[in-house]
Amino acid sequence: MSEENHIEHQANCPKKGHLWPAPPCQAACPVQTDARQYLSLIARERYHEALDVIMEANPLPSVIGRICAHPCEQACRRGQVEDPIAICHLKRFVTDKLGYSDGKVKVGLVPQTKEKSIAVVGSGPSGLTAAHDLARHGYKVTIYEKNAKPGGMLRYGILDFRLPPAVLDADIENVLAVGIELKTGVNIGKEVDFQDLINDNDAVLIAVGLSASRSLPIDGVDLDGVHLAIPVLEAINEGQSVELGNDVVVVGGGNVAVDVARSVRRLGNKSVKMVCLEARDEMPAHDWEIEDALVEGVEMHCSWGPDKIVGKHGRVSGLDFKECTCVFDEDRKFSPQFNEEKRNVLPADTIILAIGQAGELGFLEYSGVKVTDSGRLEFNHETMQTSHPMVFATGEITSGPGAAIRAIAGGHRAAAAIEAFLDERTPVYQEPLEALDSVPEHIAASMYKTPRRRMPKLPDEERSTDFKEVELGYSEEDALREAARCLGCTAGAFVDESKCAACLTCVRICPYGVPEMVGDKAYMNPQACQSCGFCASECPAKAITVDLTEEHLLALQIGLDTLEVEVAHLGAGPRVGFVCQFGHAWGADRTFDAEASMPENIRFIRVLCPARLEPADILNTFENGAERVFVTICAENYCHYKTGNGLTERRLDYVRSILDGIGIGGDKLVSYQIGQDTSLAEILKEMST
Amino acid sequence: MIVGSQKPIEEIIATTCDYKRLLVIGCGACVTVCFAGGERETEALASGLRLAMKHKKIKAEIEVEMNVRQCEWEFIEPLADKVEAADAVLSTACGVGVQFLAERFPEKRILPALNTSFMGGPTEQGVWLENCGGCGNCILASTGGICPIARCAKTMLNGPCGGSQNGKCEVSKDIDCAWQLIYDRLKSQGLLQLMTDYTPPKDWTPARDGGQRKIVREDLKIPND
Ligand SMILES: Cc1cc2nc3c(=O)[nH]c(=O)nc-3n(C[C@H](O)[C@H](O)[C@H](O)COP(=O)(O)OP(=O)(O)OC[C@H]3O[C@@H](n4cnc5c(N)ncnc54)[C@H](O)[C@@H]3O)c2cc1C
Ligand code: SF4
Ligand code: SF4
Ligand code: SF4
Ligand code: SF4
Repeated sequence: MSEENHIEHQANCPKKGHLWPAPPCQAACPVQTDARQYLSLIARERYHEALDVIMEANPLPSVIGRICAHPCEQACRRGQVEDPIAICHLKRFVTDKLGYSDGKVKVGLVPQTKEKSIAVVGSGPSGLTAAHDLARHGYKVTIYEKNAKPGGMLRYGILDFRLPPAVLDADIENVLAVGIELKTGVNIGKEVDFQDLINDNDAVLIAVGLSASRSLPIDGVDLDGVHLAIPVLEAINEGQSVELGNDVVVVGGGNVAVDVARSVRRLGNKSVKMVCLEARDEMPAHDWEIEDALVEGVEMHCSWGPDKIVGKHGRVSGLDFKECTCVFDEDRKFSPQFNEEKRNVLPADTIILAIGQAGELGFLEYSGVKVTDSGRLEFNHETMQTSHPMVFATGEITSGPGAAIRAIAGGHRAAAAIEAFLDERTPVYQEPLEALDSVPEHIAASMYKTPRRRMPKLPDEERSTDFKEVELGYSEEDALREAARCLGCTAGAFVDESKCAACLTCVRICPYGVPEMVGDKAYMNPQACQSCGFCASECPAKAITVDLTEEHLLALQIGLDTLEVEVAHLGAGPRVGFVCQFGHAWGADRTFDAEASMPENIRFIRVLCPARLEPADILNTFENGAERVFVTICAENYCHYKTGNGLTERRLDYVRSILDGIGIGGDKLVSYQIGQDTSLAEILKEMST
Repeated sequence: MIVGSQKPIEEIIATTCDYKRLLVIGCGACVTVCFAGGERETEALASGLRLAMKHKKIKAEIEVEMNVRQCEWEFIEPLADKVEAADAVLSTACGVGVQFLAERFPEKRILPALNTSFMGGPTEQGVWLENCGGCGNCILASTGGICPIARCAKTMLNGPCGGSQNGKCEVSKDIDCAWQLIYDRLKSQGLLQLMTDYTPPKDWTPARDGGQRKIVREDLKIPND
């Protein structure tokens, strides 16, 4: 299939419409990242294309690849088999591998083609994203930021050991490079009047986030030694010294509280305890963050509510608390209940309150933009407008605290709303996607289990002493293996009914028993299909397409086109290897870098299971100049799709018989069974001579 | 359905290698289902031929077209231009399809890629067995649903010959004796007396002996005006 045809197929494919649900990972992602697509590209080492897919949805890939709350993974169907795919770690892998997160990849300027200008207040993820979208569409965009550096809470909230500043700088530099003007150190409401922005621009976007910490209405909060979380984080992030004692109690059970606790642990040999209302399994902080905090020596005191802060000589000496029996009422509303009888006291010289954040909207006074009595912006979620028609808002100031990727989604939505406003039309937003249902239980139980690759981390003992990045990033082998675990949800078999000859082959061949005949046409339930593509390569009518198979055919084609060229310069003896993407890393030489040590006369084509190769694919390879072709097949009990080994071997025998008939000789087609002790290096050596 | 298999590729190469522009036409019906001439096999054959030509250092253009059913004029017609432009056509349909092409394009070289073998069906994936001889006067009612015309090497009509050994045919120990099968089936159905009914010599006129057969349904014909 030519590239053009391939694209046409994708565009016309009835699966792409609303008829077919989306992979749950994509449906769960606030910006609808096509994770399945980028995982399958990573699995085939097509990293540049993978980054393109990621960046279609997300202008801060290196940042999000490190700190995302990754709701996609919570939704991932692989989780039903053993563990969800490490979608987030793999995003990071691509940005690291390509040097994007190091700032080595530079994005180009997009020329300004439109007259209208937009002012954005705030350079957090929501403001950056909106500015990026608008600038890419040709508008003149200026961001005003009160801090010395851009990034909002990504810079002043999240600490360096989770998100090194250089990584944030690299992403932001590329966002700005499309042609956004950034004015830092400009506090709107102080240095510049908000009214001036309204006067000088065609639209204004408020993306100021929640930069104030909330305090607690309890006795003792005014004592020396009581701090609010955000200022402490800001100070640590800016490298300023913060006066903290040695017995620190952090109040709160969310991610900010955990972050504060983990950072304070790194400031020296301090005892750090967290106290929160919620039980351990109710804590709003992410499990993986809590686990890291525990490893780093933070103590957790759950199900306790602070009653009063006690002090001596005007300074904190401890925290009194009582048991919290229940945090939420029946409607899941926050309504803590306490057991006054059960009390406790923790000695402390420092208390940090991390119980929530609020917006600072003083700059809107007299601007005509209304703020409610409770201090919230008046805001229309449908139009993204405030009470002033040309003033829009987005990010946490409108949504409340959440994940950065939600702020990015808000940024996209705000940009769409502003463009529509400037064009005087109704805005068009991304529609929510319907997610594919879970894997049927009997199929999940029968699947090949491959545990999730662990993220390599800094050794425990090195962690609590400095702010070095804790997560070290996947190796290439980790990444290839992890990406290959993806089930390719909804990329599965699809029958062109006009071609199906009702031969029943698919019904007989599927390792998972998915296809069934509906009347005289085959049908594959996308919920059950594992996208192995075996039915497609076996169907005598070529009535079946599998998205990932189409993709692999495309790769094949590209491979073959260039082979013709390369063959000419290599002289005699070009060989082509079809290498199973699953089996590649199973060999004895796991860390062997095949691409780097490839003999000059070998071309390597990574395929999802070689049982997807049709006889014509292999014959085409010979036709295009290959002198020998080899195929690596996972040994019998290692096949990711159960029966790929036998299917491939018998198909290769068939092709050998044709090669014999032609006079080329079936021995020119070699297959290798890949097991734990096979060495890819040796195969390559053997094949090159 | 009609079952056939691809001729050995050497034979196909020998009949096609003189043509610079070869059009290979597959069929989407019976031969698709028996993995002889559907899109998958036709494309593999075409790649094989291209490769063979390249190997012999012969420059040839080999193209593939598919057909819903090669035994229908209307399905053949859209291929007329392509056929005209080719030096020869290789058909991966059964003998019926080949002849339809040959009749529609009488001046063109139309070559068969299959050996069309029999009417039958798969016993398992990849194995097909002959079942019906197309004798034109079906006797399955008296033979327990097992056809001695297609399945007995001697087309015996009144029970087995002397070569029936342990249920196998004397022609090959891999072939079941059709009459053994018939006997067993009738016995299990309590109809053994059917074996004793004498079947007189068969009139083979409705079979091939009466010349090319033809079925006419006047009621279905489209009236000429
Ligand atoms: C400690 C901490 C840890 C977090 N960890 C994670 C995490 O691991 N994963 C995750 O997904 N999310 C995390 N988050 C949440 C994430 O950082 C936020 O969701 C996101 O930054 C919100 O984006 P925003 O654009 O709405 O606002 P912000 O990021 O808050 O940016 C608002 C910007 O506006 C500027 N501004 C405000 N007022 C003015 C003014 N008057 N004039 C000029 N500029 C102004 C501010 O200085 C700031 O730069 C964390 C947040 C915190 C506080
Ligand atoms: S298995 Fe792959 S496609 Fe399916 S939800 Fe997980 S990441 Fe997405
Ligand atoms: S293998 Fe192809 S032709 Fe056969 S039933 Fe399935 S879809 Fe139809
Ligand atoms: S063979 Fe594979 S691709 Fe086809 S239906 Fe079964 S699981 Fe899906
Ligand atoms: S052995 Fe049976 S099948 Fe064979 S020829 Fe004799 S009767 Fe016919």
